[in-house]
Amino acid sequence: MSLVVEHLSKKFGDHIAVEDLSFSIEKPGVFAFLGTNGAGKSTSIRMILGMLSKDSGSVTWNGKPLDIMTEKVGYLAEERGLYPKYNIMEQMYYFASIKGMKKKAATAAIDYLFSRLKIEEYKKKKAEQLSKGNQQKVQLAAALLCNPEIIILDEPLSGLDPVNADLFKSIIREERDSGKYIIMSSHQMETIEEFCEDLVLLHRGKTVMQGNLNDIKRARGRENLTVKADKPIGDIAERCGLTLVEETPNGSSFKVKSEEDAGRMLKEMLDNGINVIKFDLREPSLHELFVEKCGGEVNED
Amino acid sequence: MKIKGWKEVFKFSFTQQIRTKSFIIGTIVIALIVAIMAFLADFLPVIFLSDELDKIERAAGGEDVFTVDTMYLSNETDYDFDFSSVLSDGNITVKSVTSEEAEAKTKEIADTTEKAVVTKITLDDSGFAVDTRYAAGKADIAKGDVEALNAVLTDTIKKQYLMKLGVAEADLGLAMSNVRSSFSSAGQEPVGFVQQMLNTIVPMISSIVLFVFIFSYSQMVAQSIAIEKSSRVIEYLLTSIKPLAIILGKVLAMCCVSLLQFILIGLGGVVGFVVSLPFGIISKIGPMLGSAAEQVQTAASGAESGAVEVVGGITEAFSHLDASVFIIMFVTFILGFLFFAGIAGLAGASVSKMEDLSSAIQPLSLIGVLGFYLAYFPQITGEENTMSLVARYIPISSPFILPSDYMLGKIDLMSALIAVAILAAADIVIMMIVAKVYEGVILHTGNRLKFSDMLKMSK
Repeated sequence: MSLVVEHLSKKFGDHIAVEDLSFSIEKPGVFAFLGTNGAGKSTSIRMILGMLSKDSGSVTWNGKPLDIMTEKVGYLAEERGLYPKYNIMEQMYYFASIKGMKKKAATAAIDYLFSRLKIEEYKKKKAEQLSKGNQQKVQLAAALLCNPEIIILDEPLSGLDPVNADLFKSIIREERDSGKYIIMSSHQMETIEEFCEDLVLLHRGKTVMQGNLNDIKRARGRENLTVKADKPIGDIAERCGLTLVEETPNGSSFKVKSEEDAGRMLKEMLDNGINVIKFDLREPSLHELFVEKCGGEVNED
Repeated sequence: MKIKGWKEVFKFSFTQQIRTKSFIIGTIVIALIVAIMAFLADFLPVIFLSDELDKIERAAGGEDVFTVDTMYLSNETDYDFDFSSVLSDGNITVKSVTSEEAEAKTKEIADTTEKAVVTKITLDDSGFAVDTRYAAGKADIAKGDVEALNAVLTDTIKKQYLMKLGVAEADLGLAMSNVRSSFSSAGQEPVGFVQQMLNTIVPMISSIVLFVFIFSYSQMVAQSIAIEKSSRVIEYLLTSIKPLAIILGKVLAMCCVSLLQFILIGLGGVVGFVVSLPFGIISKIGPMLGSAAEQVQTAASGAESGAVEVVGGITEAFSHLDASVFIIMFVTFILGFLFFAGIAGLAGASVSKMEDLSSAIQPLSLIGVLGFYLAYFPQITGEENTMSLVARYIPISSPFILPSDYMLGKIDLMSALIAVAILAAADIVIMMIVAKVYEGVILHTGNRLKFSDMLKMSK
């Protein structure tokens, strides 16, 4: 089974919201769908889900156009919502009914998910009586209600305290391990690195980075060096061709052109009797890759 | 085209709406008020027209309608009048007395149960005068009977005076008759006063009631959609169902809620009426209506019977009631609701914040109020005019006026069907626009959209 998005484009008037977006998810797992604010992520997700018409392109699931009316798709939107004045349980039954679930199956699913998310006591409350975090849990339960094969999570962890964030993560892991195809959008790069192997990064509607995260990092090599020493090392770094990025109490960060330059830097420090407290040569983080690809001209719309 | 999910939207929207406090309390309170009004409308005339009703009932049963047995007559004029032959039909005995005896009798009958009246006939420069005294209390003489008696006496005085002047008996009928006058619009059948009043009042009340039910619940469609947009529930719903299913389910649900409330309030009226039946005027006069009404009026010795006239007028006005009336009413209600709710749906879809809703529904309010006034004002005259003719064929006004016009027989079935067809065609156009525009704007967030923006987005 695979979800394939090919050449997806959308314009609003003269504004290009999404341009020629293509990616595929060939096996179960969590796929990162990243981008700056206003990059076109939500528009793309809406097109994938068929909520929004696309100017061009296609979305296929198992080789056939994806039809959310017939396929089981779960969606946790970035701007989540519940009916503020209505009873939570009645809303869940309504959501289940429009997914085509019978009441018995809906009851079983709701009971399980509410128990798993530790929100059983809120079943008979109105949404407006719940905290934002608990509303978010109800929303996640609604997204997973029909045991979907494809799950789209748009900023699932935003606004959650660490305990509930861990709870959400454990549920996402469960879904991943049970063979679900999950698309996750988040601005929390650590979370993405924790869950995702493959990604696509959008900026101003265009794909600026795409592929397997480890491959991307490996291709870039270990180019980030953090050094902490008991004496100034600026001169040595300059002689070795290192570019200073920033200095913090935890040490100085440099960009290195090659691992050999980093090796020379270490050798010179030791030769000069400098006591090296920290010497960390590593691949770029996803955060750094994100900022590098999108930084400087962030669209705040 | 199969629209999946609209039934679920319908069920949820309907259930949630009828469980709101505003619906439950509003329906109970209004139904109670209507029940009380229906009861009083039938019952109060029995109290205020009790004498007259009693007379009508007795007259219908072939009984002597007069509660007067004896008339003590003091004729203080120089003319002799023979009342005995005239009043013998009513079994009234005429006893002549002097002026002094009349005074004494007047005091006497006030304290006895004797069904007697004392009548003085006098003449001065302004003409003959008949003054009758009766005992309303112990003798239980109906005021209406005394009025009727006086009417007979004055009629007899006029006739016999004219005969003394030389008018032949054969000419008396013509000489005594009133010259009747009437006026009505050319090309229209003249109608009675009561029916004319009903032709005015029923459409006015009907247009107000229909406006309230159709228009207020249409606005609730806009409100419901705006809530789903502002709370972002719409994003979730759209992962399972199409926008058209959402608006269709919602519009039909509100239409049914409106109909349900209308029916429940109407049932309140029926219950009030049924409760009043054993005591009400309809049950007392109803069986005597039609041709019997005239006989009753004749039997009541010519006394004007307001009750008979009112009930007879109502019967005549609603004589067109049959199954087709209820079908036309039902269909017009549904189509009218779809028309306004469709526009309301667009208004609701154009906003993403609840605070923008009131300004978004302003155009709907303007259209609705204009339609209402078009339907309402032509009815004030109670007669057919150009405005009323136009109003029943324009979709913005026809839902408010068509049912009452057809119910009162102002238009025939063909005209009603044409008006319904125009309304249905307008509904189709509105729904096509809604289907086209709604899908394009439902996910819009930000400032309120103008209609032109909505059309652009839907392209």
